[in-house]
Amino acid sequence: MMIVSNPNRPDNYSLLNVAVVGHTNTGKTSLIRTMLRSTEFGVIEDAAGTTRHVEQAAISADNEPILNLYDTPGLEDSRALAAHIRKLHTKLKSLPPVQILEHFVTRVSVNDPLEQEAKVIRQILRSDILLYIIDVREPFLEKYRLELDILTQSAKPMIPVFNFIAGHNQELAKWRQHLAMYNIHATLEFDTVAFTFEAEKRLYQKIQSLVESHYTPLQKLIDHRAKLWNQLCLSGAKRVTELIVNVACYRESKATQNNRIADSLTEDRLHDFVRKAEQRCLHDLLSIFNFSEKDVAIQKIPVSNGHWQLDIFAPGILKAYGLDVGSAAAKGAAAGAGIDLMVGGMSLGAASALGAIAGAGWSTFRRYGDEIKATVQGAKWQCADEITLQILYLRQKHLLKKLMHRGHAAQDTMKVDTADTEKLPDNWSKLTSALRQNPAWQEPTVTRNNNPQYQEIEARLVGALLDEG
Amino acid sequence: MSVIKKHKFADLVHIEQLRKIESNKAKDLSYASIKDMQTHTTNDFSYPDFIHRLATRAKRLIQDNALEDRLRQPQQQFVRVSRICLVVAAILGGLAASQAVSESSILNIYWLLAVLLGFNTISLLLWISGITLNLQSLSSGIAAQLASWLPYREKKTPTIASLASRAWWESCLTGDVGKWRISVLTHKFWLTYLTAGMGLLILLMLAKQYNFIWGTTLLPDSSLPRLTHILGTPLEAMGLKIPDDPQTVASRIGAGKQDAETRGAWANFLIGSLLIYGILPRLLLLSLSLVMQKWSEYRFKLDLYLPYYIELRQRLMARELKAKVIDADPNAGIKPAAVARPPENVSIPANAQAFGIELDQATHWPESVTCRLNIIDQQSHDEAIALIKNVKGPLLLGVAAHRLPDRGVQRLIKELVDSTAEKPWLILLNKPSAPVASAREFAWFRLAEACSIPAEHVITQ
Repeated sequence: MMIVSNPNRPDNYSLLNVAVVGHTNTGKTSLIRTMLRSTEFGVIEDAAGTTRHVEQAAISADNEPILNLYDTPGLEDSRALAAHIRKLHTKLKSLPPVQILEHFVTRVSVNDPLEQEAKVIRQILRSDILLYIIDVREPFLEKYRLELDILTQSAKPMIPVFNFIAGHNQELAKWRQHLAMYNIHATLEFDTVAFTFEAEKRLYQKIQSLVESHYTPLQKLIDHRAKLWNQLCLSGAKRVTELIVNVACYRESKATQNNRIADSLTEDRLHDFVRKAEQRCLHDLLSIFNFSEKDVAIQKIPVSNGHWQLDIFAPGILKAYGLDVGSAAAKGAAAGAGIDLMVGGMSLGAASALGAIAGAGWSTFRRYGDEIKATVQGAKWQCADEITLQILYLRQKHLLKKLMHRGHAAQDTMKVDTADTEKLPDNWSKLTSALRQNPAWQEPTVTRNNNPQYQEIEARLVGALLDEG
Repeated sequence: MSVIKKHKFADLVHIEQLRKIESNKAKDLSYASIKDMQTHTTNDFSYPDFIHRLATRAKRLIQDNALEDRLRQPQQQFVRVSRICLVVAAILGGLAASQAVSESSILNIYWLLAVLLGFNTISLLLWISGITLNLQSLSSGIAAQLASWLPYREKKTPTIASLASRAWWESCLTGDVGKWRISVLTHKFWLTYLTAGMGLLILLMLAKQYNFIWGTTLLPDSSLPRLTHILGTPLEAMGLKIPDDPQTVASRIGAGKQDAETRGAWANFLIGSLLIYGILPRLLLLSLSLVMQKWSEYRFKLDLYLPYYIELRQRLMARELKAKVIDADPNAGIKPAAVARPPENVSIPANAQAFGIELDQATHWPESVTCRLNIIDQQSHDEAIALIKNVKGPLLLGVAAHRLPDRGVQRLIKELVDSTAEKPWLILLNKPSAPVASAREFAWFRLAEACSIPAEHVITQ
């Protein structure tokens, strides 16, 4: 069936229309980018009048559109605007304020110096609710007061949103005071650069409380967003866990004779493996959180062409993580695989007892065959040592945290070098030694994922990675 | 929008096989046919949609690289090995039955039952405990383990075929799907064993007359007749004639001749027991396992948290951004004219009349300058205009360099400049805590130009 569009009733008539307004360069486009989780919407620049048009973007839950966000040009000359509207007031005394605004937008010409402001007011009049974005780093000047005055005349509900609050508590408090004098108390803190999902949720809840008629679809949106957000974080944590498991389970067999050249080759291969694994993980994490590689280059994350500039084996790194620099293990020396042959022996015995009827012997042999063979031949394995694993974990946890709190409008350089604030999970050494005992877990398989011991290790690592405490 | 059908298990297995191959041998594959595969855009991620895309991609890759045969091979191998197992089962069943029949037309009833039903029951108990305790090594017998092992042989240097086998083995013979697939094979094995044994017995009994005997070494004499009675109760309920007590006693080993009625009753008992205690339970469990296998295949899900799928998800399922400009900028695309950087080290004019534009307390003037007034609102603006009109000396306007010159500020400065007869100067004041980007400085230079402040009158600190 074709839907015939009715010019008098737009297709999205039931959608909530949210206009994002504010002074120029306060982060209106940034807010929308962060809400859309997209770095592609609009243009962000540290300059006045970057956005000079009104742009619409839909936000949906489960493919059902819930609301339209409107990015508007910044209000730049509110004093001229206020003066103009005051003039209209005196001329058209009988009209209520809203109609005066309407009068203004219908009569403004393309070349009018207030044309950009007219665009904003036109959109405000078409919207259900306004988000007034405030850069709290700015002093509370008369021009902002005038902006608030004009917005109030539109008779639309308005939520002031404080942006750039990270590290500016005093300024934020001042803004709160000033707004309170205008009887505006229902405000919101939403930093588009230092993002938290909680703030986004509160934003929707605030809208919900002001626009009662859209309560149910908004609730659906909140639930949907929360679900997505949890999945996103879980995906990230699982990806990092996969990396830790991949590296912890990796082993490289070593020649029996003491051959230095062969040893250093093995070492190189091991280093190469760890570096590549970390790069792949970084790449995946960026794509999980919708920060593309292209975005990375622009944002100057310490990565070039998707490669870490920092080298996990570079001497400085260990120090940055507060780890022992002198450790021989840091060079990637062999940390013996230390396979518990007792376990192998016991299950072999038990299996051969059952073997005749159950045929379990084969699976046991498949698991420990290599170790038994190696013990007989006197071979050794080289694997990533404890320190390497620790750095890997700490760095990835730090990166994950940063990504979880990075707004899609962030323009700063993301530094992921020191992570001394991060902690290793409890029983870390138990977890890693259990992983080392199971080299077969290196590759993701159904068998591995169904193994209760593996599931427990995975759950612990994921839990620790997502734990922000 | 087309409704996407639930994907088949076989498709998922193919996707998994490709995953294994691509993670190890991506270089050997040709990707020509999927190059033109467009990114599918949706608002929100949907699992069936994604699987559909993956399946299409897999199909094209398989066709392109002629992988069809190699991907199907492990399944065929498994079927072949299963058949061998079943043939072995048939032979074993036949051997067991023929072993119980001696040359002298005597059929040892309990020996036969022990060989045919006894082993079956032990294996059945093991299977049940394996399934209930979730121990796969208990529930799958030797035959099934063997059948599952043959297609899977790990290789140090994997080939496409060995990777395909491995992936097939992992998705079809491990986990829930594997548990039930192997159970099916186990039940088929014992069913064949019992059917072959029973079939041979029926053939033998049709062609020859057998006397049925029983005997025991360790058990008391009364135990086997009692067992006969217990086992026979359900058969009797079904209307079969089973040996009564005198007939049983008369069949004790070495007891002499048997009449046709006793023989008939024993034959009934034998066939009935095999059916009720052997074939029927196995048939039921076989159908249960088949249903469970289908169910677990239906529930089988790809682990989308794997890096391989994360990567593909990004490539195949880009998120759509539904954005459109609804009130366009008439001057879009017009770039601001370039401005030149003013000369460095411009000194502050002597006797300058300094005014601040929207300065905060943290922004400081050079020590040689005293700010007459900081313009923050309409009132201070009017005051400033009045002052400027009266004072003599160059007009020096101080702005905070880190802040943004917007049109409002520009208009304000223009008004101030217009109201003085003297040469106007602009000074960019720095705040220690706020660094200034060069783009921001240029925005101020542009403003100076727009307000007719010459470049050599712009002072940067």
